[in-house]
Amino acid sequence: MTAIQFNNVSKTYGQGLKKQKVLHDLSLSIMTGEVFGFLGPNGAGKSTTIKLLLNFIRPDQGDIHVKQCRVGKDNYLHHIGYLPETPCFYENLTASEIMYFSGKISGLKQDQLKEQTQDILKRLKLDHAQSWQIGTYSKGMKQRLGLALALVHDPEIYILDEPMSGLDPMGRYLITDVILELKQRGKTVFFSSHILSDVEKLCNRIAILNKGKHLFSGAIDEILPQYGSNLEHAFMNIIQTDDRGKNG
Amino acid sequence: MDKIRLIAWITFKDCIRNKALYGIFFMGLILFSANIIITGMFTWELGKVAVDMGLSIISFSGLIIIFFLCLPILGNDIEKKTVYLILSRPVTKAHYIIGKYMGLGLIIMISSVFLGLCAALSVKISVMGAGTFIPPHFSWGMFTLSICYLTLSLLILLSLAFFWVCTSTHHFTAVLLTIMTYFICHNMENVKNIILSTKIMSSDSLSIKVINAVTWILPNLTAFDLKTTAAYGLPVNTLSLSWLLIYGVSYSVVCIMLTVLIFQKRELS
Repeated sequence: MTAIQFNNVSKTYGQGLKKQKVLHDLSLSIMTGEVFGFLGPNGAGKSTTIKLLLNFIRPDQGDIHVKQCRVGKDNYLHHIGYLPETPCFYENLTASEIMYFSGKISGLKQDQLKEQTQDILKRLKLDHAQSWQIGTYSKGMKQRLGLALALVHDPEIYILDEPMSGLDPMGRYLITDVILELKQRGKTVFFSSHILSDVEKLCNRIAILNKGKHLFSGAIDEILPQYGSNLEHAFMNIIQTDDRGKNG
Repeated sequence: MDKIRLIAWITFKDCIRNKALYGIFFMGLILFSANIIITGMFTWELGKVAVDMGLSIISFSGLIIIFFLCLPILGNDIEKKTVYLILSRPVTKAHYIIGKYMGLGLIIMISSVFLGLCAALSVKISVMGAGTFIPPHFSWGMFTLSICYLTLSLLILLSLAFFWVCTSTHHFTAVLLTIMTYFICHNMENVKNIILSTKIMSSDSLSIKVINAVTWILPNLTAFDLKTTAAYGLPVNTLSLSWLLIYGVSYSVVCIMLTVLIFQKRELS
């Protein structure tokens, strides 16, 4: 069953002479229960795709569906847990307060919420800091809190934009562990990353994007013999071939 | 309604712990102390001066709260993408704007209560023991009522600030536009009356038409200024005050509705 479906989605930023097409006719399916890696160099259109998926911006053409709900028309956000690339919080609130807000606004009951909050904060090693104001948190702690917020209402689909960015090895280990557990529980995870070793370890399938163009999607086993001996080589080959093609 | 209440709750909590708010309160306290000292330099009508200054300090502090606290909070939400934290949840942009307005509105109301109590204390100390002249019809009820209308004018300005933040690309532009709007709202009626009374221009000239249009679009914030009435203990017209209340509340509601409509069209890239 399809969890996320992009149908011929295009997006342009700016107007007039400054008009720039950042996404060209993207069609992609992410199946329920799979961990899907979304790869591409900086400026490839990964974050734009995620913003389109969350309805922060609207596509010029095409449509996006999340569990049969059309993005921009139906209510689907209760199915989603989202971690932005650089999570920004209300810095004067504490982790407990922001967790309470996120859970409550996603429809969780009081007793359920208390239990969930404690479990998740403990799992992400933030329980000792739950009554601290978020302004006093380090970058890694904020990133882990961002993931805690995505997990709090136990959604079916997780959209993680560069979840490992700015994390120390301990933080990376914790987040990798959480994603593996979600995979075991049959949750759908759609995440963008630059760290190809993590992608190789976690993902069932990947898609590669370059300058807004969808170059490849499929299982990691499909890409490896065809484009390179490991994911890094394969990724570089695909991007360089595309760039050479564009430069003539 | 529950979602709006939750958004208002986190907005209020975040803002009430903001150190800038305590800075503004501290500045207010210094100004109230100055009120006591300055009033002491007057030899007559101390009561009027103390009331007038006390209310002006509340108004000034309220403006500082809007320009240097509320506007940056709202602007940062959009520029630093803190808004993603809320809009990636099952809430609409209308919930967000209304919740945010209610949270920041509550901050303005609480600030008015706190500063109002300080103003009352400064007035009491100023006139106490000086055996000074107090206007015969002065009442604390009227003093309180003028604080309420002053707060309502701040809430109207806050709704205009929301409108500008949601239509501007940078929050600094929104600050400038809100300051401009504030000055126009406070002076346009006077400018119009002066021009019409001096007959510099004919009433059907383009400039007069533009001024007329502006006075219809923007609220007349001078109408909410009851400082003189409170300071001199002048009689009040209950009916006109009731209409003023309806006008103020309706204007804020319409302005917030318009902001919601614009924000729904806006992309958060």
